[in-house]
Amino acid sequence: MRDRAGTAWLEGSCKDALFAQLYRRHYQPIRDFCRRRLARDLVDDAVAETFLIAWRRLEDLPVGDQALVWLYGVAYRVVGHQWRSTARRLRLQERLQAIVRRPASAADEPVIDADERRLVLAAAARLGDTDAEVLRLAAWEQLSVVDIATVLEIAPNAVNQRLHRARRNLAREYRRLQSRQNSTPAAAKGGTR
Amino acid sequence: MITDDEVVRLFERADPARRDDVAPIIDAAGYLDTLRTRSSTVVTIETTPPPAEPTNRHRWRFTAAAAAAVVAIGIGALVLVARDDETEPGSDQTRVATKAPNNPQIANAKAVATGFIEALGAFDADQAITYLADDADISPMLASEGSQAVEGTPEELRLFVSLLEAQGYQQILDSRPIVDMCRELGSSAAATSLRCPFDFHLLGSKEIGRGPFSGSSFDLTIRDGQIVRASTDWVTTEFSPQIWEPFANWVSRAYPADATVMYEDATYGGARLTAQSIRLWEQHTRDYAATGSQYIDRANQICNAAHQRVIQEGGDEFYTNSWGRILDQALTELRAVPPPEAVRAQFDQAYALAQQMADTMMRPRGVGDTQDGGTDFIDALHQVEATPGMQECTFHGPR
Repeated sequence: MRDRAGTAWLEGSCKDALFAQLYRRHYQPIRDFCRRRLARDLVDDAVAETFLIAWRRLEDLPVGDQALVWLYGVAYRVVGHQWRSTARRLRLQERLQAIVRRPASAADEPVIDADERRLVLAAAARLGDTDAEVLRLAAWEQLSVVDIATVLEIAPNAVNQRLHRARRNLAREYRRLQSRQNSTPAAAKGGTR
Repeated sequence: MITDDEVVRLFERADPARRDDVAPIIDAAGYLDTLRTRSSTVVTIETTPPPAEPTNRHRWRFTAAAAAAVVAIGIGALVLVARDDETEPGSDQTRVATKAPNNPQIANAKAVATGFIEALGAFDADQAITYLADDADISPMLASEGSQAVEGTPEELRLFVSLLEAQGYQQILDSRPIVDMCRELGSSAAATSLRCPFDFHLLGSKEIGRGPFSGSSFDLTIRDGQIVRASTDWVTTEFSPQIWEPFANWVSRAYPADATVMYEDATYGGARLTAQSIRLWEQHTRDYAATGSQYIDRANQICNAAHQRVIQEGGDEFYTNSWGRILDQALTELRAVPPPEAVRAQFDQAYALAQQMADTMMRPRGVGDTQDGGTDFIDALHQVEATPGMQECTFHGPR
């Protein structure tokens, strides 16, 4: 957001007020975004980094609904930065596995049960990174194809193709895992589901 | 058996954030104070003046293999700091300090890299040259289109820029100031290595509804405000089968004599860096894109007309026999003119899929028939819809 002369006009309290508005409006979606992709103890850090970048670049922030898409783009890179660290990734995988193994809260999840949840997340983990991210952005962030393309910096056509492929592969992997699970002795005795 | 849609719905409900309580929101002012504390090391960079424009203009020495070796040794001597891997995860201060571009050397390097890349994108070879050191090794970049025996001379850089322009190169940089365009690969006291990603259109890909193609990057090493090494990594996984190879097929068949001038050899894997070659690249790129875009326009007109007929005559039910007949007739009209090479693959596929759709619609419906919502039908519909010029032949939109 710059004036016609191209000079930054956001200074002092004006910048603070704009940031406060941005923060109040988008804190929860950004926290959810990070929560969906990181272990709990890394979430606050990633959110803080996202808003730190937003504060520094407030002059360049798009207006309206695109601000959230812009923030998703920042958060995507912040999260990616953490994932790219090998040491962190290994630790994170351990934590994620621990989370996945945790039984679902009945109060929280009236429809999906723990086994289904574990299976579908395990199936999603078998997708390619970008395909999985496209699926998450569509299913969890409920972004449009155009907004997903903006966040991931790929063409909308590519998003369509990846989304189609991700849905198909997710279902295939889910059925494969389900079939494997059902063929275990525990399942045969009715102990799994 | 559980269907694809049911699995996707399961995935939606498996959202980890749904299981969390709503996070207690800290008041914005307090959060801002925290951020200010965390970002105190960043302030210096935000007030750092932009780097002075490189002063060496038009100075150059041939680089060739010996210089490349020298640069390679120099690069090898860099203490490449892999920041991602060495940052202590538990330390906020450490990460913020290392992530933020608070080092003037890195900030200057990024400014130089951006200027150089923008000059290339604007086909301003003279401007691009001003960012290069005397002994810069740019041969990897100049050879990136498969040109052979490249030495990295200024004249070759001019030819390379002219070739890009002739091929209709459109460089797409990250216009959103989310993060710096270039990512630091490593730094020493003297030099900084950066990777700068870009998307591109080439050989009329935009006109024929393909691309932009993502994932390519420039790798630049900057020392004392000047680029000492430049390379380009074109990611061609999608570009090659969609554009480069069909173009080469077309040129080699339609203009075999020209193809021998345009390409380094009969594999058609590399463009020749000569003035004569560049003239031919420009001419044939223009023709190739024009034939493709004209065919797309024609398809669009036919599909539009078919969609209008569906609106007027199709009845209230979706994807009925009458819709199928209209699509079938449109396909007959479309196929009356074979698609040119530029768009042949995508139209051949779209026609086959659209024909399946038409056949499905015209087939008598039986008990339990899911032809209007079957997975194969919807897949075909999405693929036809993704083909430039064919969107209206899916009969989506207001009725």
